[in-house]
Order: sequence, then structure tokens, then C-alpha cells
Amino acid sequence: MGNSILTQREKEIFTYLIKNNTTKDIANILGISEKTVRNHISNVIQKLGVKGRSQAIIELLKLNEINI
Amino acid sequence: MLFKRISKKILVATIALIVIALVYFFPNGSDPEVYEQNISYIEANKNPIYLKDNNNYIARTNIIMKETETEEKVKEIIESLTINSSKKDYIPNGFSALIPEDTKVLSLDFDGSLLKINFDSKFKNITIQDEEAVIESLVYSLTEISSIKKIMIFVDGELLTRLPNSNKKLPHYLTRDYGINKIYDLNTLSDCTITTIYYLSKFNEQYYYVPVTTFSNNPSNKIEIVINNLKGNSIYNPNLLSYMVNSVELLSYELEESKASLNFNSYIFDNFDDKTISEEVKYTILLSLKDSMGIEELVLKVNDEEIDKLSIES
Repeated sequence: MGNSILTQREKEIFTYLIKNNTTKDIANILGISEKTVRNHISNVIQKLGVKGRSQAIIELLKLNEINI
Repeated sequence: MLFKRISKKILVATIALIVIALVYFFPNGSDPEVYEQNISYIEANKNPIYLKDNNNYIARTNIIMKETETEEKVKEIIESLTINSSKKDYIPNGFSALIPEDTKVLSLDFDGSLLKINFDSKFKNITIQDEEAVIESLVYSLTEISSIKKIMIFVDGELLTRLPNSNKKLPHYLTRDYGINKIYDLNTLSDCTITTIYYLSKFNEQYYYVPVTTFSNNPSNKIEIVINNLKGNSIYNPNLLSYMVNSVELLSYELEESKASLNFNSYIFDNFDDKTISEEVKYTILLSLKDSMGIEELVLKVNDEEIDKLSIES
């Protein structure tokens, strides 16, 4: 107990997502490829067992893993 | 002979009674004796506190508190929030405490507006159903004290970073931004807004306030969101009430730091002849704006005429 369910990178990506940044924006900000950003998002969706980005955001908010 | 003896005794007794009555009822002209009274009156001091109601909401009610000094007040609040404590008889009907029974406060540390509470390990005996509610109850009850803006919870000296059962992360500092009775009404990732609306509920004809923090996609100004929600446009639960009728219109508003001035149409009146707004409507607006936007002073106008002015008591 005590470990976040997100990696630091995943947390960064979702923090930018909730601020209305696109995948392309996030890739530019973090200096990684768009494909890598999409992979991270897919990993989180899978970890949370949800169907899409919006549901992932809601779950992460409920878990206090990210903040608005 | 016997009759004479009895009559004599009755006469003596009667005279004695008359003499006593005369002495007792008729003053002798000197000042009456003043009895020094050493009676101290304890002023019933009612303070807001957030407890679980019968609908499992963390609701705002009032409790009598003896203490006025901050540290003692904090101890009294925590005691009131603890199940089966010495304060259990002060809990209003229809409400219950949440901190596990026999939990002890090992220490309190005040650092400006930050309060650090160190509980013993029994604090972690919270059930999974109540663990979020315990945090909300503590945060909201303790931040009713004006000098306390944020708290940190420790258990046996270790900072509590996650809830014990669900492993949900806790912010470093717990403030009212943590929210209460949280609802997530998000469909998209854009325009996420957080507002806390104070509704009414009742138990045995006694009304009290229930705050609900909603995460929603609403591009409107928070003042508009608060008023729209109080008009009953989106009350999620039949146990939550609002006395603001749907025909109320917010005509205009002004914001100046922590002061808001709201101008309504006349449908906000509870009584058109007296031009009064009900207490419930006034305070649901004030409490909602306080938690949603940090408003501390509220001016209520109707068709540009100032009707009432309210402020959060310091």
C-alpha cells in the first residue's frame, strides 16, 4: 500500500489532458512522440478497467490521483 | 375540661402561626438581606459540525460546545466526531459520528493556519464505506474555526497519504478543496468546474444543510451554477431540498474580492408584502458561494433594491 497506480509520466499526461491539451500538444510539451503519448493513455485506461479517456479522467479524479 | 385544654392549645398554636406570618410577610423597614450568589452561567455556545445523517450524507448541523479557546475547541470537535465518545449525548438526533471508537489524539500542532493532528492506530479502523466521509467530516468541521484553513492527518506519527482501505490518495494539505459528498458529472474533458452547493434536508421536522461538491462540465460562472442548482434544476436526490422556486431569476451580479452582490427578480421573496427572503434561501446561497468561491459577504438585492446583507461570522 502507498504506491500510486499511475507512473509519473502517466500522471503528467493526464494532467495535461484534463487541461484540454491534445495528444499532439502533450507530445510537444513532453518531448516524446504522439504514439508514446497514446500508449501511455491506453495503459491507464487498461489499468483502470474503463472504456475511454473521459471515464479514465473521472476515475482518476475520484482516486485523487489528479486534480482539476 | 378536656375540651378547654384542647381549645387552649389550638388558640396558642393559632396565635403562634399569626405571629410567624406577621414577621415573615411584613418587612421591618431595614434593607432586605442580599444573598451572595456564586452562580456562573455557561452560555450555550452552538458551533457548526459535520456529521453523517440518516441518508449517509456528511451534513452540517450544530452542537453545543463549552470551549472557546482554539486548541480546546479542536479537541472538543474531534471528541464529538468520535463514535461513542463522552460527547455522544450532544449529537443531534438523526446524526452519527464517524471516527472509530476509542481513537485517541496523540498530539495537536498548530502552525499558522495549518493544524496537524496525530491520531493513534485505531484511526485506521475506519470502514471502507466511511473512510472518505471521515476525512470530509474532519476537514469541514475543523475549518469552521476561522483560524484553521488546512489540516494534515498523521497516524502514530506517520503522515496519512492514502485512505487505509481503498488506497485513494490524499492531498498533502487537506482543505475544503477536497470536497464533500462528491458527485462526478463529467461527460467531456473540457470545462471541468467544481462547485459546492448547500441543499436542505430534514429529520423530525428539523432542517439542516447538506453540502454536495459536484465536478461537472459547465462553462457558466460559478454564481450562475450555484443559483441554477438551488432552483432545483439538478437535485440528484429526493432527500435534498431547496426553497428557491424555479421562477427566481438572477438578473445581475457583482463580485468584489470576497464580496458578492446578487440582484434577483421578486420571486425570491418568501413574503411579497414584507419583502423578506427566507432564512433557508439566504443561507443556502451564502454557504454555497463561500465554499465554491471564497465569498464572505453577500448582498441580496431585488430589482436593484438592497434587501439583505449577510456575512460569514468570524
